Amino acid sequence: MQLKTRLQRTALSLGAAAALAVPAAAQNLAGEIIVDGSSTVYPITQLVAEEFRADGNEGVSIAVGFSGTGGGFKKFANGETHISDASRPIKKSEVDALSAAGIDFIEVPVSYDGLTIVVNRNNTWVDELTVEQLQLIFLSATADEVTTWRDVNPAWPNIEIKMFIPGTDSGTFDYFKEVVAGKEGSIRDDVTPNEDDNVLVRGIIGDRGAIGFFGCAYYFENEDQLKAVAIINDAGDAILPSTESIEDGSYNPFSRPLFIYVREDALDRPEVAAFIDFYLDECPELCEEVGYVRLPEVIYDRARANVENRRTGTQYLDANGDKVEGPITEVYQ
Amino acid sequence: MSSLNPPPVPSVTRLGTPRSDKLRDLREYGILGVLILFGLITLGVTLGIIGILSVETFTFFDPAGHKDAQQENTVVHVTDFLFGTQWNPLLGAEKHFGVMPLVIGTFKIVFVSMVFAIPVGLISAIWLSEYASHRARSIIKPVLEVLAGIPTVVFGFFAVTFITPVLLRWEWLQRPVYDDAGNVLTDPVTGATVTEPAGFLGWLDFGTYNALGAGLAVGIMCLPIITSLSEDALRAVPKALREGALGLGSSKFETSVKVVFPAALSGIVAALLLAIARAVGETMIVALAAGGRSVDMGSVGSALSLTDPVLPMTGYMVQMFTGDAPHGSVEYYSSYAVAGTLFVITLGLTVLGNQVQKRFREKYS
Amino acid sequence: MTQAINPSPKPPMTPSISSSTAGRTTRSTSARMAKNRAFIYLCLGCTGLAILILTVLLLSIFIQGIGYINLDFLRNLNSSDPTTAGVYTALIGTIIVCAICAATAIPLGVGTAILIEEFRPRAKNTGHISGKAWAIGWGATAAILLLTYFVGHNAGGRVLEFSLPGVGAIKFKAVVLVWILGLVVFAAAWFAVVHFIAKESVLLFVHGIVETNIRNLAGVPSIVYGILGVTAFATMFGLFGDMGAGKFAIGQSWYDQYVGEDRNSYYIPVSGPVDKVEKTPAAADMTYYARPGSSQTVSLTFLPEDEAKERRDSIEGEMDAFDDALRDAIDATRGARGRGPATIDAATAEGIVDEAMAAGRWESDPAELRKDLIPLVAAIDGLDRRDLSRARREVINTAVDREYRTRLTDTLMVGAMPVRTDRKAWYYLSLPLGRGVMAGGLTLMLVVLPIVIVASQEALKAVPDSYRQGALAMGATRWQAVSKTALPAAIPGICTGTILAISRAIGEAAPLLVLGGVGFITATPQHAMDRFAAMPMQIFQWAREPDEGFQHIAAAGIIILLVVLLSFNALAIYIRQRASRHQ
Repeated sequence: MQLKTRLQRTALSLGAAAALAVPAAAQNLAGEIIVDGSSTVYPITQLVAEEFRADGNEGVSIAVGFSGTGGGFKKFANGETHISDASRPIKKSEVDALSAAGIDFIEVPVSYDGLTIVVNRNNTWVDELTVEQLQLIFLSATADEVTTWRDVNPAWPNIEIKMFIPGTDSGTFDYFKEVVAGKEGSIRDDVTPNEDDNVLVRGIIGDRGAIGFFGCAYYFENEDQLKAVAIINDAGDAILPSTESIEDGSYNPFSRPLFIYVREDALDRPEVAAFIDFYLDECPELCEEVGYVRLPEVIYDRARANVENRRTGTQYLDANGDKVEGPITEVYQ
Repeated sequence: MSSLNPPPVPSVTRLGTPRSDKLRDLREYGILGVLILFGLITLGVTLGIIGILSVETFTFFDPAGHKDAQQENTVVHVTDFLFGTQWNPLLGAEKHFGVMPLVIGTFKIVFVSMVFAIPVGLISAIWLSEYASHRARSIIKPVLEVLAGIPTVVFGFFAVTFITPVLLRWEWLQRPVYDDAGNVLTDPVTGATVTEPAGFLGWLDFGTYNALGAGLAVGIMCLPIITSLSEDALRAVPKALREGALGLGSSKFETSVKVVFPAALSGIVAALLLAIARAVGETMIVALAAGGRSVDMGSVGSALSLTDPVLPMTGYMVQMFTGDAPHGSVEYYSSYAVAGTLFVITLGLTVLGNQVQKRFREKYS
Repeated sequence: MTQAINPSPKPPMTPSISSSTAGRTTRSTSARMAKNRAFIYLCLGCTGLAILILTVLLLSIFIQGIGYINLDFLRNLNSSDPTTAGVYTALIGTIIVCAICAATAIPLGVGTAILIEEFRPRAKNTGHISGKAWAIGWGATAAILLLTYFVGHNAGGRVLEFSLPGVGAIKFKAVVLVWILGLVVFAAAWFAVVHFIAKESVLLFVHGIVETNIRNLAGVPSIVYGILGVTAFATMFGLFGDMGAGKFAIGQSWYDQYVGEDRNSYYIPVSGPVDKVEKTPAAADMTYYARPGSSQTVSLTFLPEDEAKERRDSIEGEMDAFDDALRDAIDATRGARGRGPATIDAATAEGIVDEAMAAGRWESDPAELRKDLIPLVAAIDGLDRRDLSRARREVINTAVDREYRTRLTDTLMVGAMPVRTDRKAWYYLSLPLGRGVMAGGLTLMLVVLPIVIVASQEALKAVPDSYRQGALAMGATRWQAVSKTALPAAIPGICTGTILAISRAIGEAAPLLVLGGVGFITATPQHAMDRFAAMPMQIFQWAREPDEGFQHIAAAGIIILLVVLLSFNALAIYIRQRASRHQ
């Protein structure tokens, strides 16, 4: 009896050690990792999964779904998935659902997604915009006054503004709405929302008065067909979205972090631990492959430490359940 | 297969030796029971759909049912839902859940598809049934069945990669862009005239995603269904009717259009209603090709425009099922209310079709 | 209205023809003939247009996709790189899901068709009664719904809980209970009516409802079936708990998994899941398996815990240090802040290897390792992103694997706290079904069931009545008459209809989208609850990508899908033509 207790106690301390980073591919990992969630994060997770498998882990079966951040968290709370992709921090209601289901999770930021404001290539008048001008264009409060570019700036031509925005239930839209409209305002209702970024790209290509926004990934892929607009940042500089300006934080306020949320108890399983470890090691290279921007190295280090120490919960909600805002280097510890 | 024309005698002698009457009766009842169970399962499908959709729809209308209930503007009344003219779950100062724009969006798609598919489909069916040689029919009929089985995602892909570009990209037809003063705009760097694509035939300004393109794709999808089912209905008209008409001096055209066609009308109407129900419920084509903005009912022109994007009922449902809206929110439940509406509409169409067929069927025996 | 256009059924020809000829007597024959000819051209034009459009459709897809079809496309997994993406798991997933769909839809559909066509209760005036049945049936349904609404409205959200011996706590919403009660009351009422009042007319009544119901189901959109599929199959109304932790499961075997110092896992069989069986502390005399379920046993040597921990930490720490140093050294050769392609020549490669190796401690021959690593590091030159990540991992893996091989002579257990894992047999079954192939197949079954039933009905109708009457006259029971005469004769027709229905299932994407789309999966389904990817979903996902490469592989995927469909259809046509030759 005594021996058993002693063994278990040692075992507990060793259990944590077992989850420590294994430097390279483990040898005979097997099992199943199920990931679902945001279609924005999907390409990163898919690529990481592909590479993880190519790294000698054919025995691990990985499934990656794209049922949206909300749908992903629903399945996560059902206990159906081990990892949930999210293009926004987890919400209060979702944290409540998870704690009701007794699921502890670890928040892991994986990359930046810059939000690019784009106009048609034949738009000769707009090169930079301020957040205030974007508010004039996009908010419902000014929907009646602003219908043409001239209404935004008298120097601009009298061409109707056509707005193409990501689907209203997407994380990209949430993020834009948060930045431009804040908590009180709302986006006007005569815009063209679509889940499919491809739709937006084509819509903006086809209309000279068009303006739209979507993830930088899609902008980088369609760079030659669209014109990005520089955004006046908090320092008053007009900054175009680029990997450098997003990573060094000068492109603000339109860059946001993407996350994966990992079940805490799934990390006991060596294959999940190895996958997360691989994710954090290779994400800086791989997320750029699919058009996103790596986070500062310090964030990956913090994430590694949080995984190692099993620090559960989100850092985007404070003790009262209120949203914590700010750049990820300040919020995520 | 060889038992296709089984000589009745041997098989019946084989089964004419029951072990005992009681056992045979028992088996008979057992099998009947299983078959009735199967029948009840099919009933259960209908009940299940109605049950799930109604429970979730009730939750949608129930202010206590969803998580946003504390926010005062998320309470949806049934009348607002049914007759509201704005569908903006996440846009504008207030959330609007009026299903009308979605229904109109759906029927715009249906209208375009049927304007294309009904004449072409019916005339092809008449040709196939009345004019085509046996050989031609024996080739075309199976081809139609194959085409009716093409996955709809294929038509959606075709709409995006072929139909829409044909409607949209008339790049050789460029027109100069004018500023307000009526002067031609020139590029400040190169000094060249700024032009924009002139649109279809130089005058129609199609959005990248528009009702016409998606509707045509849905029409192409419906075409084999309409042709094949109408042809069946036309062929079911007895030969005597045709021979009588021809014998009285009618031309082949008059026989087909004025005798055979009216006689087959009940079957044709049923076929058309089934095709319309398919078009109403079509999902993958509109998810790929129709765009994502609900119909603007502000003016008649914009409400009926075929060049603007539309958001049909099924399109909204796909958006919801792959989107980021939290589970349990009012938007989440709204997709079920839309599904319920869709179900009622398609069920109504099918019931109508079956009633038409039953009531107006000509009996020639 | 329709009636007015119709020639009235009683004297079929006379009125319509006479009226038409009476109206036309003034027209010349040549004008009528011209009209006739014009109509022929119109017909040919329309048919030609239809054929042209469908040809353009197939051609445009063929041209876009044919260049991308090769053996690798069939063998590869989906990928974020369109040039290497393939359809293997999706194709297998589609085949398995459709097999499940066929295996359930065919018996159910053919059985229902037999019920409707062959066990039709004998009564006059069928149409009239079934119309009434229809009304009463829907009325009863509406009544149940109202009941559900009123009860569910007040108490529906309340969660009821009770426990069963051996199963544990069962939780469900009150509304489910209301539903079950409603159905029980409904069934009991039927039983009473059938038994005590009028057998035959009640049978007729039920029969009428079933028949009408099927015709009406045929127009229900597939996305609605998807919603039913999720609730009825994936979550099973929440009756068996959450999807992630179902109440019932068979075909699972449990293991305690120990991770060895060599990073391999070793397994020891245990009797149940985590909450049922205590974890087994490691002991030297236990039998361990190299893989769950394998017969290959391994013997393990144990070190005292602290010594083992020390060894483990030291090798891991040293390899980590090497890993970090290597990454830093490579990043130093890249652009600003360690981004962009690496620039490495022969000299810098040596420098990088030396720098990285200096951070680690090596028991394997360092000179040899260095010699082997230098060309690998040199190969990183000019690489970026995914390629760099791959090449860098090759360097690390080479060094680390060699070091592990050198240092470990015996297998040493260090993680004394095992992880409970399970292995699922091919017959693994759990309730609720979750979002696996079984739920997918059953959902598609719902979609095609009406088609199978209607097609089977038509096939049975086409069998001459004399077949059945002959059998009945010779003393066969109804079922014998059906199973030995009518059914065999109808099989070609049933096959044709069923194959067309299954080919519809192959292409359905909307219900699977509702069920939960999997875009990337590395393994084919191993059991009926396993997740799956499907061809139409894959095509949908590719078609939504803005990158043009994905448009091409979407077209290639469509071609594969169409080939599968065409071969199915060819089979249907072959069966039908064989059958018509026999007749």
